[in-house]
Amino acid sequence: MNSATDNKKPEVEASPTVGDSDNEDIIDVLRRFHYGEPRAIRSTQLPGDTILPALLNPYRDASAIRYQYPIYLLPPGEAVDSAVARPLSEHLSDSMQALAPGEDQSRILKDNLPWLERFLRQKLVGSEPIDGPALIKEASEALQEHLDLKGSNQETLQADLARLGEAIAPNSLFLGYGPRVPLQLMLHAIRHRQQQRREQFRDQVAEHVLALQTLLDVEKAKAGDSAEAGGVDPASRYLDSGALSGMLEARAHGSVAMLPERRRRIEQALGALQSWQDDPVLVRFVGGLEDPRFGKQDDVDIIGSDDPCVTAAEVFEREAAACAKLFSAARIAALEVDDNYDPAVHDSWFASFDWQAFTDDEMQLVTRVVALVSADYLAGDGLPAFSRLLGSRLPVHVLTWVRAYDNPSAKPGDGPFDSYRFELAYFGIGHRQVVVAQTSAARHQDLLAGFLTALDSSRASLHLINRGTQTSVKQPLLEPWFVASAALESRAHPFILVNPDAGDHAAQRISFDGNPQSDNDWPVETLEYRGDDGEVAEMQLAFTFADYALLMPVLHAHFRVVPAGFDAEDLVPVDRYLGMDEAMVGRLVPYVWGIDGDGVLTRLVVSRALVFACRDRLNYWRTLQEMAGIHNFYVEEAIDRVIEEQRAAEEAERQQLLQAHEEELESVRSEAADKVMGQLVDVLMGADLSDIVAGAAPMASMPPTAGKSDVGQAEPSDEGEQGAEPEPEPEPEEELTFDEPWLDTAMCTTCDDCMGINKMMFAYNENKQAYITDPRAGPYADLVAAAEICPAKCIHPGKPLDPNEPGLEELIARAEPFN
Amino acid sequence: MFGLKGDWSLEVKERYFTLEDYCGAEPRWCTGCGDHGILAAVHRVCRDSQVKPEKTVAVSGIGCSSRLPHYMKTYGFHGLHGRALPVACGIKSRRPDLDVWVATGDGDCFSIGAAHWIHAMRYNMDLTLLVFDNGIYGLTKKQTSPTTPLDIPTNTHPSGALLPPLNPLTVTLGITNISFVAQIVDWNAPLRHEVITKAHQHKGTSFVRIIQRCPVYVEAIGKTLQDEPARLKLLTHEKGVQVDDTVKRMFPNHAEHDPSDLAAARALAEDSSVLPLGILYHNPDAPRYDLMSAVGMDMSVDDKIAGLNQALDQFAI
Repeated sequence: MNSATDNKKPEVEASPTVGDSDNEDIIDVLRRFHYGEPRAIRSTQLPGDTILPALLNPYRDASAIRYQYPIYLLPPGEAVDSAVARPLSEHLSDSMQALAPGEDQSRILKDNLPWLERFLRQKLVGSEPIDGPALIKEASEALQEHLDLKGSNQETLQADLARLGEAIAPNSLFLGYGPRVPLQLMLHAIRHRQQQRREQFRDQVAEHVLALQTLLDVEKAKAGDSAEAGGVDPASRYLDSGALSGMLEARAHGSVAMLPERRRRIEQALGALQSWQDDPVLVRFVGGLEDPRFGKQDDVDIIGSDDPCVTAAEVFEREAAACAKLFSAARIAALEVDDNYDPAVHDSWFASFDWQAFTDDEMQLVTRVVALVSADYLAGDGLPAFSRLLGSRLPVHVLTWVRAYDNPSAKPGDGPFDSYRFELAYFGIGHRQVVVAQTSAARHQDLLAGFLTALDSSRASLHLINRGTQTSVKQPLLEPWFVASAALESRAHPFILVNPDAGDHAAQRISFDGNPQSDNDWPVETLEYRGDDGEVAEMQLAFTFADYALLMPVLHAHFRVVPAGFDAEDLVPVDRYLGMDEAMVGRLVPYVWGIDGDGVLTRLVVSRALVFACRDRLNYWRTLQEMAGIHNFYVEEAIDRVIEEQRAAEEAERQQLLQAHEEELESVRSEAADKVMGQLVDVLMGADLSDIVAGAAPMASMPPTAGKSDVGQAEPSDEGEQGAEPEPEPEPEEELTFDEPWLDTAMCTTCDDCMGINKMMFAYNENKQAYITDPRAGPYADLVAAAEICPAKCIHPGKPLDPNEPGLEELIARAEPFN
Repeated sequence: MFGLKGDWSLEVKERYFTLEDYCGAEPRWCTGCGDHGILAAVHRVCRDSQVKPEKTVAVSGIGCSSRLPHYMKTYGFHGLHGRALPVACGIKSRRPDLDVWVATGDGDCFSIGAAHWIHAMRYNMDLTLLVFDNGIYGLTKKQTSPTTPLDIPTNTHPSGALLPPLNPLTVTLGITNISFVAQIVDWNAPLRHEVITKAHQHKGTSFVRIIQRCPVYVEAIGKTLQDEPARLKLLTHEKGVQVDDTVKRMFPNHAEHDPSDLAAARALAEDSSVLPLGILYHNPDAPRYDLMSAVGMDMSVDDKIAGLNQALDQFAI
């Protein structure tokens, strides 16, 4: 457990004394609440305003929690381990570690990185990105003002902050958590993918233009246009270029005038390429969700629409048509430059050239179209248009927010559990050839992974994003990003990323990355608490959909408080309840553990409606698991069957071997008995019995064979000794010597001796331990004297730097033991 | 869990203290004295733990060691000879919120202050007790102290100390209710820092005997041990001190010793052939008298009078 939880452990309230009949009454009324009896609903206690699922208690104070935000957005073209964004705290911490790897290096700044981080977070409230270098500079100045250090401490801090500032790339951005984070990250992902491609294409167009112009210039020259134009050479008026061409025609190829059709084609392609305006817009948001408010940014266009799915398709087709002209001109240019254009083949091809003929690279150049649509609209009136868009093959991105506890297709006024939830992700998967990403703003890596997968694909994509909610306007208990995390944790909003380009099998296409403990039905964590006896104990708690529901004040009606200290066999945790067959649950009453603002643990009975919702969530979770290749029912059944068959085969073989062994044993016994009987008969028939008796005595006194063998083993034979390899002698440790003067600062005892010898040569660091500032700040004799007097023997004088220093021979001899 | 990493707790320092925030007056100890290093270690441990200077108090008796409070930019109490511990216990008893350091010496603690030493150890209040043991009365210029080794000439015994020295470890380990006993040498900085850090973290009286060089009057004591490290034995354990290999290499003798084993600690202390270094004994669960004496401190004067009257009323006729 983290230290923050160690300070004050949750407590279980002591139980008041109640009689057996009271117990029966309590469990009876709780059971009746569970089944929804109105009188029991009225007579039982609702959870208080400060209640949280027990596992979330340590996280009430968001200001004391380090999480993924703010994030550091790397400028286009830059990435760290292929990531285009990373948590700012991680970047600062890693940068400091790289700049000052030693534990005590840059200590003041390292100790105050959390302060810097909090300052930045406070500056980044809302989801407007801010210029990284400028903000780190502001934060650095604020930290210096806050610490108000003096002298060398201030100088060191200033230098360290300057170095840290250099670790923030120019044009990078910092982004705090807010409701529009997904839009900002989508824009960031598009910039990363588009800007470089656009620049490359711009160069390519310029090359084509130049090449086509060259072709036309040559043609002009052939046609004598240059002479008509009055060349610079006065002698040119005496030349008839047409006559010259005619003469050359007889001798060589290449001077034939271009066919008019070709010339026209080249001129048209050149015109299209030259007139291409490099549109700075990289993305067009077709808005239905809300005004994205990107501010004045050249690369973003916002188009309002009441029917974004339809409008987005139209916008894309318009964009694609414009691009088709451009790309066909570029392709014609490439063919013409290489003289590969064959009208018989290419004329008809380019006559019908549209976006469906684009290569993947060309498709990536088309301005992105992102439809911003509400989940209610997608699951309601907009459903047909939404389905048509997903099935249209248009690479349009649909982005929507989803509430993890709610049903997007519910009628206005309906409760979230009145009908089964419409799963938009499942609907998207039903269209098979669509990239589907169900992610959360609380996990920027997964969010970006979904965006980048969609941008790298030439397919339509659907992004279902949970941003968390403010649990209560009056008294927010948890930040929205944490609520979004809880939605993921509770399987209310599992992550899935479906990429049809990844293969033909569902398990290949569906990634389950980011889901905690994805093998389990529910994630299970340990909770430490203090029992009513004062002793610290722990229990394993599953974080279920019911725990998530407890975060929502609007769903508190589905919970009732179990009186303090009350316990009954019929009360069972909801995860165990859900693990039972419905026929088995009988009189059992499911509950979850909650915790109030004072840290008191309370059981909360869960309504039957919420249990049904939990079961539905679990069912959907298991379906997704199977699709992602986890816990496939048939595979597990087959594995069990194979294991059982293998066990049976092994058991049969074992029995067979045992039987053979018994038979062999019986046979040996029988033979031995026969032999003994034979010998006995021989003896009895004529042997001298006195010999046998005499022979028995020495046998009894002989040492047992085994003992003899042991002795033999204990004393190895000469052969053995001769054969044994002599143990290699350990190599003597190589003694280190130093040519450069060196001080092992960690070993310095701060005795002041070296300072007493030469204060210019030695100085103390932040820990008041000495180091050599400048070995030339005094004679070699000072270094040697300091080494001799140093109680920790941590000064190593090395070799003298000044060969003309007097008495060097003696000094070198004195220095030798310390080098 | 919940997308948080192991370092999720954002511990912001609202006030930050550098080494200089704990450094008081310029030390006036002799150049080369081991006390400089001990002072530097105290400054570092304060800085590392970021204790508030205004919530820290250094208490001392009389002697070279006892000048330490002057060199701390914290509260300080330079007391009477041998009386550092009673003063420190008094402070801790009435101001349990203060971080109390005690600087004393072999003369101050083991001779004139011996009675207070015994009882303060038994009280087990939360103090960090550093005994600067140089084996000589240095401040008064070389008189025999309880720990002066045999045959070392002093001004009181010019032909050499006559009696075998007191063994502070066996005495301390024989006191009831002790909770932390350690021994270090001043000239090994990493070990010194590690042990004093552990002593400061311990809740209870942390007794640290520091064998400290006095290069002016008894240079031979420190020099012998420095030149012959085989006379020292480094004690390491997962519950005690853990040092890296570079430190271990400085000690030809080292052994694993579980500091919760009092009998083993006593055996190590008894062994006169080597000086054990590290944590000999540690019991975090020993009762603390400061917690008991602080009971009722939050009562108002009226509450106290009412309680007193109630108690006295029982004897009313």
